[in-house]
Amino acid sequence: MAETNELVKLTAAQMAEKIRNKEVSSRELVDAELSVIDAAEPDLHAFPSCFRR
Amino acid sequence: MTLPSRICTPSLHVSADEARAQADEFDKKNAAGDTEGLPELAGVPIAIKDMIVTKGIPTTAASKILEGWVPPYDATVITKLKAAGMPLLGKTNLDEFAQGSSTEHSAFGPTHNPWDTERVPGGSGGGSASAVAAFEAPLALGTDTGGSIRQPGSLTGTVGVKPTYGGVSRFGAIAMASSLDQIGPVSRNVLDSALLQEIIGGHDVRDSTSIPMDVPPIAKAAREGYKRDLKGVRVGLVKQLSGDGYQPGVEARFNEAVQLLQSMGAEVVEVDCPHIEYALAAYYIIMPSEVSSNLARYDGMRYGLRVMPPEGVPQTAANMMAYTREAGFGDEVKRRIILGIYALSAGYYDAWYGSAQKVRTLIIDDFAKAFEKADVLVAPTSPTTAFKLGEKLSDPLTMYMSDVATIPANMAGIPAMSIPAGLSDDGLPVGFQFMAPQKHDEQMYKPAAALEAALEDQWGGAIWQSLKTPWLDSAK
Repeated sequence: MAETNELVKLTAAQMAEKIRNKEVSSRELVDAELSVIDAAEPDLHAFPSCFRR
Repeated sequence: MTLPSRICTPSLHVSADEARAQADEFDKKNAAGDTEGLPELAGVPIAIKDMIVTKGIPTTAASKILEGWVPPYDATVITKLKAAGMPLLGKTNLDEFAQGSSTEHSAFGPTHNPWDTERVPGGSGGGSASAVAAFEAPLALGTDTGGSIRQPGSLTGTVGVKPTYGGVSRFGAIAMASSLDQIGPVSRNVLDSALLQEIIGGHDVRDSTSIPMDVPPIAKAAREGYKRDLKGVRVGLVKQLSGDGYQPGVEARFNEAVQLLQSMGAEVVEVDCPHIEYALAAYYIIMPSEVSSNLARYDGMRYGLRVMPPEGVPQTAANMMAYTREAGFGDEVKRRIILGIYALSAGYYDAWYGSAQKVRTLIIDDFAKAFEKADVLVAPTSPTTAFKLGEKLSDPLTMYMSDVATIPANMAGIPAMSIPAGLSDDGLPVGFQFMAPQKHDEQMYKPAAALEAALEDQWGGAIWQSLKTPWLDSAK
C-alpha cells in the first residue's frame, strides 16, 4: 500500500470521515497501522512484544 | 538510530489477528449500511495501555507478577470501544503498575521517545504516547493517577486527557491508587480526544465512584474552540506552577501560548493556590498507601505468577507469597508498597495518612476558590522536556518532580489535559496544561482547541511536521 504514510498521518476524525465515505476501510487502516508498528517497534518498544517476530 | 539491543521477552501483546477480525466485522456492517447509532469514530483503530483488562488478550500491567494471566472479562471502556466498532491494535507499555514517570520501570524494558530515541517518552503511559506520536496508532487509552497520561503527552508532543474523576468508568482498570486513578484519551489533536472521551465516558453501575451523569458536551466545545474566539473566557495562571525548576524553554513556550489565548479574547488573571506547594508531598503518602493495599491481592494464590520456596525452606503459604512477590515486583513497586505500609502503620496513620488527607482537602478548597475567578486554569504540564534514558533512574525524588504540575488535578479530582505548545530550545516538545472544574470537562476543551488551532496556524501545520520518521519509509 503506497498510501500507508498518508493514511496513518490522518487524525482519527479524518480517518472516520474517510470510512463513512467508503474511501478507506477499517481493515485498511488496521493493516497500515500494523505495518508501521512492525517498522517502528525495534526502535520504539511501545508494544514490547515478540509476538509478531 | 542506534539503540541498545531489543529486550526480547514474551510480554505485552500486539493483537494483529484480533484487530483484523474486528475491522472486517465493522467493514461488513459499514458496507451493508448497518452503522446507525455508532459514534463518529466507528471503525478507527486504537491502542490500549496494558493497565486496562482485555478479554482473551494477556494483560500484564508491565509486571512479571501477572505473567500468564489472560483476563476473563473486558473493562467497561473496552466493551464500549468494541460496541463502537473500533479495532484494538494491541497493549502498550508502561511503568510497572503505572508507577513511574519514564516507562523505564516496565518489566519488559523501556519505551523510547520517537523525537529522540535516546530519551524517555515520559510515564507511566509512555507506550500509548509514543505509539500515537510515532503514527503506530491514531488513538490510545491511558490511565492517569498523578500525570501518567498528561506528562507523556507533554514529552511526546501528543494530546493527553485526564477526565473528571468518576467521568469514565474504572471497571477493569487495574487498580493502582483508587481515589486518584482515571482512564482517559491519548490522540494527536484535541477534537480526537473529545470524540474518544464521549465514547468511553458516562455512568457505569459497575464502578461505585462513577458519576451518574452524561458526558459533558466536549466535542461540541472543541469544535466551538476551533473558531478561535475566546471572548468571555477567563483563564487563570496558577502562581505556584511556574518559576524555579521549570526549564527556560518550557516557560517560554508557555508564556507565548498564554499570549495567544489573550489575543483570541481570553481574559487572563493570576490565581493563588498556596497548598499546591504541598501536593507532591501529600500525594507521595496517599498514593503509596492505596498502592500497598491494592497490590496486596497479588499473592500467588489465585492468578498470575507463583514462585515456590526453594528446597530446604518450609513450603508454607507465607513463604510462597514472599518468594512470589520478591520475584514478581520490580524495585519501584516495592519502594511504593513499603512507603505505603509505613504510612498506614499503627501509631503513624494519623501523622502521615491523616495529615495528607487534610492537605488534600485544602488543595480542593484552593481550586474551588480559583474557579470563582477563572473558567479554566493553565500551567506547564511538566517542568522539563524529555530526559535521557537512565538519567533519573537512580534518583527517585528528581523523577517524582516531573509530575509536580500534574498531581494537583488528581488530588482534587478535576479534569485536566495537555496539548503540545511547541518545541523547546533542545528541539523537544513542550506541553501546555488546562484544568477545569469537576464535571465541566468542556470548559478546558474549548480553549485547548482554540490554542491548538492558533499554534498550528503559526507553525503551518501540526507539531509532528517537525518529527523525523525514518520508520515510515520502511513501512509498507
